[in-house]
Amino acid sequence: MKNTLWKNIFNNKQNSESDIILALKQVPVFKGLDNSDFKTVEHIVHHRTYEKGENIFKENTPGLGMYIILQGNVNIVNNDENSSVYAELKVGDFFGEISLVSEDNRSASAVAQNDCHLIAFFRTELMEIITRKPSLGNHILLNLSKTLGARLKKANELLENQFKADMM
Amino acid sequence: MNNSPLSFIIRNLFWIVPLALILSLWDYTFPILFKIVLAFLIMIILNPIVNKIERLLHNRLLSIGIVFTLLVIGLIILIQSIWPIVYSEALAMSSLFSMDTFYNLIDKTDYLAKSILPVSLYNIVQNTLHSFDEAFSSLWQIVLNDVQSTISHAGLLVLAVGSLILSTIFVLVFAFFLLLDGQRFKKVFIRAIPNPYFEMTLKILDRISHQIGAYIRGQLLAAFSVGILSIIGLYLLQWITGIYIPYTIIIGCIAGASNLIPFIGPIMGMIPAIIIYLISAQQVGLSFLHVVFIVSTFGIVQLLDNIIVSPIIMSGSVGLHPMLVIILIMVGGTIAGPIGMLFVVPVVAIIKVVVEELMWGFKNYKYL
Repeated sequence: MKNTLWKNIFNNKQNSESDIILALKQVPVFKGLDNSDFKTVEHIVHHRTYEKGENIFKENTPGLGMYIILQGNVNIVNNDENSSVYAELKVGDFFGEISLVSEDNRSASAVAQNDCHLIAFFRTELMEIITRKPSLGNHILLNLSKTLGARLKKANELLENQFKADMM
Repeated sequence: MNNSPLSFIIRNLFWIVPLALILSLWDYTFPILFKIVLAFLIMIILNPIVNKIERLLHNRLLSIGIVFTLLVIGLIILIQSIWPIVYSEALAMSSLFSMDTFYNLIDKTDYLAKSILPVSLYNIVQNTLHSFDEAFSSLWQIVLNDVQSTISHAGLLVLAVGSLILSTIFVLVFAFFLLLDGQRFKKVFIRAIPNPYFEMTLKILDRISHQIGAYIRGQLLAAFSVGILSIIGLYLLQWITGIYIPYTIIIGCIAGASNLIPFIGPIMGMIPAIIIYLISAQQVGLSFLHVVFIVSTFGIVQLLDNIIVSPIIMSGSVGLHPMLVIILIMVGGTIAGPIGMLFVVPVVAIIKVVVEELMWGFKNYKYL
């Protein structure tokens, strides 16, 4: 618990609405939404501020949803002895999107590499959108499926290349 | 990270200051908190309906407006048509709370026992009844005192929350804004949660609100259906058998409310009907068979509730052991009389859900 607490309480004024909507527009999960839809999503997402070295989430804890980086850098790491870095993420990148559809625990930890400002969009909020605005909810779910499908295709290609390399 | 006590206090000022203010000004904050709790209950009940209408109209404000308009119209109809009947029944029924009624009840019970039991057995029962007469008399007196104290407590409660109409308006306005901006209020609260507990708090809040929402909606709908079914059942019984059971609506309300108490609630709900039947003048004569019919009516109501209504509304059990329920009812009765007996189980059920979910959160987020 650091002084980010007070920043989180008063950070509402730090970013204009357009900053958040611009960031949301970069994320494939929200691709093709119209302005009123972006407004709905903007009202529903959480804004968080993290200090350098602070955990955004920890490995093996229940996953809630995805984060979008508005400012700063985030590393996705595992908690083994070597603390391997899976990915180094920058402004505009997003992570944790599998938790929007899966209730499994997080497969890695996310750590702030410097002072970060993130947007959090969670499964609860997605369910709320699906209940109240089914067409918007379906649109987001379809985009999410496409994103996860693309990830799966990429993982398959990597495995295939690895397999071919091992065979040679 | 500075771990000094001063640093700890400064970091936690965001909840310490509001809590200290609420507790120090309790006399003033209680009526407001009470109204907010009522508004929160209304929000929990109405939210699924508002969501359904919003899906059709794509406008939350309009959806809430429609639901509230229907609610106000319903309240007006209720006040103008049903309330006078309930009020006059309640007034007439309050005159029954006397020792004369008790002796009348004892006489009728004695008459019924005589009509169905063999002489030898009846003598034993009569001797036992006489030996317990004083005890029963004291019990009746306790019940009378309880009922009177409940009425006076209810009066104090109304005074505490201000005039009834004004309070109703406040509660409805609070409920309106909770329905409209509930998500925003939740976000403001969540913003104050420190980063390490952010995800855990959201997850726990989500699980608690789902479970408590389903429990409260289920309990209220079950109570409402049992009340309505009891009233219909008693009217049908009177029409078929020709017996006279006055204050049917009040009896139905009691049966519905006592349904909030698991296990013994349904039995508590049928007792007033039997007592009212026994102490009322019957044109078709007093018969034990009629008592069996009354018990059967409430049995059928419970059966309908258990096999049709409850599975549909999925009220779900909160898993309190029957023995714990009986102990809770005794404790609730001691603390706050019949009102305490009625609400102790739902309150403990909600506390149980909150504690279970907190434990789940602390365990899964590795704080235990």
